[in-house]
Amino acid sequence: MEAVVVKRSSGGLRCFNCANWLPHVHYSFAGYCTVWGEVTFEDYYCSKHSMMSVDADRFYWCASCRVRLTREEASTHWVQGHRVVRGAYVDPDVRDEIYEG
Amino acid sequence: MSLVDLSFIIGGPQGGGVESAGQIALKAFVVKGYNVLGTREYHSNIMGAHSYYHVRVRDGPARALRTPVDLVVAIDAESVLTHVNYVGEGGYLVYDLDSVETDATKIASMEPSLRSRLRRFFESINMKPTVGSAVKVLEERGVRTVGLPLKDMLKKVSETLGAPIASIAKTVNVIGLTAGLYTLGVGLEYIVKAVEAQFGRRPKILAPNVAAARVAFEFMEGSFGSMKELPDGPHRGRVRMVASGNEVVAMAKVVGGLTFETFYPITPASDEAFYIEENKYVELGELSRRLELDRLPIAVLQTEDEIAAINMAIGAAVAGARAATSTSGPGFSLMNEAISMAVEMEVPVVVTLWMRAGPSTGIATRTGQQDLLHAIFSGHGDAPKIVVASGDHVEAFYDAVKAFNWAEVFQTPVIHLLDKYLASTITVLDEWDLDVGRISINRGLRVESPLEGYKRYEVTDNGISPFAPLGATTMVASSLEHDEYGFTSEDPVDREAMVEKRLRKFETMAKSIPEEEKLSVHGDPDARVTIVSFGSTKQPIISAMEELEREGVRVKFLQLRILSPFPSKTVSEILDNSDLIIGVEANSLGQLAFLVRAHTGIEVGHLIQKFNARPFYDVEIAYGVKRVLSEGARRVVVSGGA
Repeated sequence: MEAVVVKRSSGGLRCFNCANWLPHVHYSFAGYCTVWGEVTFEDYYCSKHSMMSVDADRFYWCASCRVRLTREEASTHWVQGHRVVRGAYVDPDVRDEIYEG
Repeated sequence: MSLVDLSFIIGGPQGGGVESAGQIALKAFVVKGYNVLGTREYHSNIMGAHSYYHVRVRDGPARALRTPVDLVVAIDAESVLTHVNYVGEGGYLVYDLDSVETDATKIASMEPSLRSRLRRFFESINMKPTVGSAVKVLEERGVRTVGLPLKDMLKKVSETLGAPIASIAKTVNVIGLTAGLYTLGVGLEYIVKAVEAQFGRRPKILAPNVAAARVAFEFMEGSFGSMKELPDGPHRGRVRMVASGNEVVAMAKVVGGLTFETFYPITPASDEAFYIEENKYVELGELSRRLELDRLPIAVLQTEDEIAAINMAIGAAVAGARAATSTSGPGFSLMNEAISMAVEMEVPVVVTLWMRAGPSTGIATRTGQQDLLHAIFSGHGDAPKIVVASGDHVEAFYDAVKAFNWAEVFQTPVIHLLDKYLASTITVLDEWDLDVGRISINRGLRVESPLEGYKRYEVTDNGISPFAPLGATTMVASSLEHDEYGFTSEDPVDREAMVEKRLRKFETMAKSIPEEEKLSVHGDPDARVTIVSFGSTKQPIISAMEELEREGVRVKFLQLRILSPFPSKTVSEILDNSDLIIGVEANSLGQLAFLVRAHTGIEVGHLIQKFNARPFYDVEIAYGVKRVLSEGARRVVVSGGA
């Protein structure tokens, strides 16, 4: 599959608001694209863009609060202007940095 | 006096690369030839909350952390705001330019109390509690600020590699750290060496991190010109070891003959057991042929809980193994009954107790010295045992081996008292600091093939009965009161004989352990002001004394190392010759002061205390001593740390 990721979208469609894009759990300007299987930046764009919305009955992630949400909770966060996405990207080495509690 | 004395903080979200950044920074300065000390402070929520690495670099001994710092590298907005009051004039703040609009009141991971304090602080100066305001405040205070376009720099790293960067957390931190180290005069060569030392065995991580360091360094040179290089330190070119307290104790156990270690996961003890597990197969070399062993017979076992952990260790010790378990306060609470059993059964077991901030779960990932009395009075019934407290990494190494020797010579539980600060603190050590040649292994009076009629609890003058491992002959090792053979007995004469035997053994411990191993006196022995303390406060106190001496204040420091049996006579003699006694303790009750009073009748009249679950800084102790001397303050509570 040929990647058609382009950099720096000039329009409103960006990885930032794409439903296929999972922002990094800590550094949300970068994230993981579930379509292309690649790490991209929030201002990138591609032809597979799908606008993020909170409608399906599933779990969501609030990148503003760093918390997992039910659909009902996600709707509340969404209305308040929080950055709600379908999930977070935890990079493969984060575990090296985590200590037992 | 040290000419180079740098302190800095690297802050970010837990899991966001702070640990790696801190270790890379330490290694860069070690490669450059300096002494280092660094510790991590992290939240117990596992992931996402603010954590930071605090480092001190000196050409002289790096004994303690201190504030204000010369540099804060803030990987995220929360780090800028959390440490806004920690950078001194002339210092640097490195931060993410994209974070300037971030408002403290909108940072979900921030402690609400800190958010409120920040809001009040910024309100008091008519500013919004944003990163931008913090930057402005710092600039007005003479702090030099360096805003990094982190996102763009990460993109550049990605473009340089021609591939996406999977490990974002680690790369972002190296970008921030490199910019920070540039401000301190550490060249790219040293940073790259340190990155290689950190990730050398993992090429997929190494390449992006080296690229990140190069991109960040180029950015700094492009923005600020050629770096003013910090001269190399006095140890440049020497091979030295960088190790944490956890690791040092683990190493000591391995070379000290450990054969069985149990643990149930708990901060900050688990890392010690993990390290043994990872490194137990040391090269035996020539010893391999002599011992007829391919590798050391060490078993590390994660048990279902702490009760099982200590009971398995006791079982192994009864069977003849050199056995230990490792835990912290909450786990130690669960071990109490078994410790009592080990006293009654006269079992040589070592409990490594890493104190943290209690009571209860308390603040699970922060430090404290609150388990001193818990350790001494652990176990029901008359249950005397040895409690030894180490002051630093080097002492911890030798004490860990001595703990095994004492346990086996006196057939008793030994509590090795350490704390989370020592566990997490990384320092640089020389080969002679941890000298295996200075270690001797003494397994006590043992009979491997006892004759018929062996008495496991034979009454002797010194209270010590010859030890035979279970299975060597027909024998009984009992937690019930027993006769000399170990058979259960409630006979009053037997009972009295066994209690007296255990007491004589405790007296033997007190007489046999040399005074110089029970306590140390640092500084001017004729000084009339005496600081009394134990454990990890040692190096911050010595560092504070150096500062006080420069100001003409003469102080000596009595460091208690064996807390049970308590060296009452020598402590009395030293304190009787003091005009002023100041206790330094990381607890609120003054637990050591209580012990001193109980054993000597001498009142520790003044206390410098810290119980905000952060380690003592040397400047805090110096401040406390000066307040005691100038105002006669009975109690000085110090509160540094974020």
